[in-house]
Amino acid sequence: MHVYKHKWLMVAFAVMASIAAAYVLYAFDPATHAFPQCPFYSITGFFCPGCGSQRAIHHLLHGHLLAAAGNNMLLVVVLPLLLLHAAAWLANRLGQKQFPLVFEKIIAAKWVMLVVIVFWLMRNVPLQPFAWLAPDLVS
Amino acid sequence: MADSLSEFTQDPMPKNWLVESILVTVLCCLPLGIVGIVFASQVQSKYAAGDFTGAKNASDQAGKFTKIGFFLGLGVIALYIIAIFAFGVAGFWQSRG
Repeated sequence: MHVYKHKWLMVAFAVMASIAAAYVLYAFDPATHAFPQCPFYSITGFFCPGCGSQRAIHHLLHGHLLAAAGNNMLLVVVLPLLLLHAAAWLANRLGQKQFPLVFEKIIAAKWVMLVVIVFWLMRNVPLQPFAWLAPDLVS
Repeated sequence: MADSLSEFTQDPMPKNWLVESILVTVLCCLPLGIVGIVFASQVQSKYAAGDFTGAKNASDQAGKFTKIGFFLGLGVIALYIIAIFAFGVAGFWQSRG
């Protein structure tokens, strides 16, 4: 089936691009190399929910969980859920048993929206403990 | 699945783009991903309320903003790669820190 093949091609391409991106983020520290900077932060001076995620991935790939959480707590929490979702998606396509998909639950989008917006607001409050959610390194 | 409405409603829920918009939000930092998440949430609430047309419209909007965010992000990465080749490793890539 044509559409079926097309989807696997997209998945294969996404996996390869992710591996390449992970290698670059592992080998080079975004704090000392010219990685793309957040346009939202550059323009407004406020952090967005994704600020610090490149440094967080760099630290995660080196096994430094605390340093990663210090740069982007949201990423550290969401990434395992996304991996779980992807694993269930793959298992459902390859095997007979059907696993529930984390982000396909009917209340998932509402919770994600709430968590992301609260995280966004809190990390911009320049007081402890909220400031802990701001990226460790401002660059 | 007991917690999914798709079993007892006739039309399946339109694609809500939730996973894609989360990825754009966390990895790409343009607030477009958040707009995608808000529409993703509307897809689910409108579908649950039986408003299939509204859910379809929210789905289209979620897809639109998520795709704009994704391709803008890709474009920025492409520009950085071009800049590394144009200005050199020492002049551009290692210029920070």
